[in-house]
Amino acid sequence: MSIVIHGHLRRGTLAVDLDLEIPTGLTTLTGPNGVGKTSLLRLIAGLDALDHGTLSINGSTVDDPAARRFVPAHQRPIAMTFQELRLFPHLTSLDNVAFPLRRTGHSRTDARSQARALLERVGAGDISDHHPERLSGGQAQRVALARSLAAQPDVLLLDEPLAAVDAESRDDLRTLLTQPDLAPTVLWVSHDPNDSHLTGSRIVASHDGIGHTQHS
Amino acid sequence: MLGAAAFATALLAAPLVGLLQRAPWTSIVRRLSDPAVLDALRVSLVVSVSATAVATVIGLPLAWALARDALPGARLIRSAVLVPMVLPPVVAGTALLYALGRKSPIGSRLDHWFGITLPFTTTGATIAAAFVALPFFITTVEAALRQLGTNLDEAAATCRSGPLTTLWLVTLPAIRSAFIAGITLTWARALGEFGATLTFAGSVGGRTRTLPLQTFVALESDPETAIAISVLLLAISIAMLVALRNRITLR
Repeated sequence: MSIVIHGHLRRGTLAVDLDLEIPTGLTTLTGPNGVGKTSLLRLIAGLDALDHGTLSINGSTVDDPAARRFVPAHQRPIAMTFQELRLFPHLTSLDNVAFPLRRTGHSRTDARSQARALLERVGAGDISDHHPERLSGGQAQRVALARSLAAQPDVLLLDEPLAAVDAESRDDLRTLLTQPDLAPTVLWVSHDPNDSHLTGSRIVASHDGIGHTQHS
Repeated sequence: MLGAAAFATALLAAPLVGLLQRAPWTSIVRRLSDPAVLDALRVSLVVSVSATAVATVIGLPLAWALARDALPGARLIRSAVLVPMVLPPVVAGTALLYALGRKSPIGSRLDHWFGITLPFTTTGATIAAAFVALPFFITTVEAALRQLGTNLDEAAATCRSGPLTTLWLVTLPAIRSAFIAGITLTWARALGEFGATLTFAGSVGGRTRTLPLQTFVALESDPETAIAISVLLLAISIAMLVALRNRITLR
């Protein structure tokens, strides 16, 4: 199992019981709004902490309040695309994608050439010099995906990656996101039931909590 | 209504017009290059730039902590931050004198252990200016950080960026306008400082006598020079307003 979570998360009025194991490969997490899907991603990413319980990624415990253990987001082997994308507004597409590479010790030249290749890979090679404000929803989502891939994550967390995308490029992007080599583990959150028909494992979230992985 | 508005406008404009009309235009360059004025200009630049640097370095962590609600007692601290803004500068100077003067608990130790004396030194003038100017930096930057929120910080964290790197490479560039506005306002306040400086650091030529103090001194003996310095300070203020006209409203 790539990710193992047993525990409880309380955030404001939201209380989620978590009892799940997520295998490597692609897993989709679907369910209605407001049941804690994004909260689960934030928990795995290290942007929020468990109230009690444990969370481990690839066998290493990253969150265990009883043992006072919490590995912060930037030290976890994850990357995340946010529903609102959150590209860095002062950087071009290329420098947005080069950002994680620079943080992991690549030289400026090396980071930029790898970033250029990643932008090509996601079909955004032509907008590498644009700032985020000039990008369409689909283009911005591609840049956000490239930036996440640049972090070379073991676990790639995708929060509604098709929500901001216009209809005509949605199928194209869906194909891109289901490529098996994006990351060893991909967790895809969607409120769209269509996305649960993707290959791989499936988790359905409900008001009762998030649990039981179904293998297809 | 319109009459009152016209009166207010006149009240704001009249002193400036009076100053410009009395300015000794033909001799202004000579008067401003008088050694005493050049000394005051040098002291002013050193003190205002150092005070701005101090306010930035100590103000940024506090602004950040306040904006992120990371401090217990934030409301109390936020009120404390505003105190120098509303305090009469002469009171600020008196307070600094009793807090850091040679006979104060802190000042006597500084003197005893390190041989550092603050009152009547350039360092003292810098501390006085930093004290009164600090709120301008903190309030401007805190408001911008609060408005920015944590979205970009979180995105950076998922991109392998530690907190300090994120602050430097993501957060500060994202609030660049407000950051520059904060620094400029802080510098302007430090440059114009008079009361706290005079009370805490005195008016020692070449050490603590800044342009505003030199203006006051010159008024007694050489009013034309006082006007010349005032015109210079006015020009700097207007230049700053022009430079900030977009940044302040955008904030």
